[in-house]
Amino acid sequence: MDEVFQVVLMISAVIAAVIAVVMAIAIALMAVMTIGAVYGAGVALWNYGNAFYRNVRPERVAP
Amino acid sequence: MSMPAEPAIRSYFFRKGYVDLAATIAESWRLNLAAARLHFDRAGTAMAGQGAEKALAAFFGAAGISVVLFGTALFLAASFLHIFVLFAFLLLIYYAFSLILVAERGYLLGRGFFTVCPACHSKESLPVYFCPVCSAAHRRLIPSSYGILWRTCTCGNKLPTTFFLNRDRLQSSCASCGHLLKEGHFLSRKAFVPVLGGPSVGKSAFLFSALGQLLDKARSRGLVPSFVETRTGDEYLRVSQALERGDPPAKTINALPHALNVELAAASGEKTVLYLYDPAGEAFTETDGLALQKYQGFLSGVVLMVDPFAAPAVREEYRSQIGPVISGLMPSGIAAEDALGRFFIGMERNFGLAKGARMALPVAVVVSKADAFDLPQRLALGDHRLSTSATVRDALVKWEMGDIVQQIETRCANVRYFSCSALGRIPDGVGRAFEPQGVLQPLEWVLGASVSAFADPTSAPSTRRSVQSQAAGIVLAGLGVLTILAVTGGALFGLARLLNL
Repeated sequence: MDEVFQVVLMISAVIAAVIAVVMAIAIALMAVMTIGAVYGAGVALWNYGNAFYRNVRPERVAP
Repeated sequence: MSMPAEPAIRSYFFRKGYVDLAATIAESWRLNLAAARLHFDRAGTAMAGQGAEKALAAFFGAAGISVVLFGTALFLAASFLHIFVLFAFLLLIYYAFSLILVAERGYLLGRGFFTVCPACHSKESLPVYFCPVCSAAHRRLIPSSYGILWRTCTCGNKLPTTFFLNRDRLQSSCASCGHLLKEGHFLSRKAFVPVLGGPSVGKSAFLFSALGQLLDKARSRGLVPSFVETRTGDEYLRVSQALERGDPPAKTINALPHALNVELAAASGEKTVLYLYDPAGEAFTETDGLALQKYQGFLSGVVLMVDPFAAPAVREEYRSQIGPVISGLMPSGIAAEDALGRFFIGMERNFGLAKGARMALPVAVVVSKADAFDLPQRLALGDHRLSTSATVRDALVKWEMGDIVQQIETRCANVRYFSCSALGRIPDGVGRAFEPQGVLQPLEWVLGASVSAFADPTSAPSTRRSVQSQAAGIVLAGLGVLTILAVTGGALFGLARLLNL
């Protein structure tokens, strides 16, 4: 009975460990993707600011 | 139809602002696509790696997608804000220059100020102004997207855009023919009076003799007369000196006359510019040529010269005396009724006079050459009483010129008959100064309807009109401003309701 209990416990532990690893990987992946998304947003913001700076010249011009 | 570009610097908020906006959107989109492509490439490379490198693939993949999604959202939001700011300034500027333009136009309309070219007789709302520094031609120097009160020429010089900032002191020219205009052609009331009649009827002699006396009369009434253009002043001086020497004026050859402009300035600052026209008599030998006499579209009055010696009845009556002086008398070649008939046909065809309608403007019928033989007595030459009109009229009827009388009185509501001798005697080559008689009264009577200083003191409608027109100008300008304010108020109220403010 004890042996059976130990086997079940080990299997549970292995499954829990696998789940924990998968969750850790998923969380890490989400974190990486979130950072990537924020970075991408920053790049987009930078690009717009750059384009605005280079193109907008609020001055009166001759035809 | 779009207006041609002016040689001036345009407000940023009317074109350049939107060009900049489009360029910003295009460049940010291009940069975003390039960044996204770079990140996706890096993600692809990282995916081929091992372990942690695959995490980088996720990072770069997410970054690439974010650049596209967030970049698009960002430039949409930023562009909306950008457009809002541009439109706000555009509306503010548009509103400001519309307000000033409407006020200016209303004032000019009410005061009866408009520009007429003395050369081609075109009535222009706006002449072409020239930059005093670079001579660039500004065809629409008004409050506009180039500037509300001032605009900057492409050379950098600032030019006023409204008359109350002395725009009319700039050199300018007629938009139709290019003739250079003077300040007096703009901000003044105007009176347009042609002297009409067939060839050799004595129009030029009458006009210059009458003008000389009119200038004296104007001075005696406290007005300061001056010639608007040097060339007409010089021409007047030349003809006056010739008359002093006993030389009659040379025959007019221009069928389309150059206006003789005289400015009459009152002490109050009020200015009236006379446009006096002396078309060659040949202009009235055919109807088609009269279409070019555009001044007939805004006449203030007419002086119609009638040569009594053009009438066969008069020549017959003085047959025994006329022979020795026929070269000096120079009877007109065409009958006055023919010239008059063509004038009315021209007015109907080209200048909106309805068939059979009567003209309300004053028409002075002047029998010229009234110094010959016993005509001074018969035509009451020099008698300025009102009864002279009936005397002259009766003489015309007696001389079988009743057609003229009938034609004029049928088509004109305000007619008076005069007699005059523009030279005072039949030209004899003696070299003695001419002494004109009866030349001022017809011109003065015709001008009395439009120039208050010459108005008949027993009736002063012109003075009343002047005051009324000033009031009308202010009312019109005020109405224009109020209309714009009302429209703006309505728009703001509607916007506030829309936004639940």
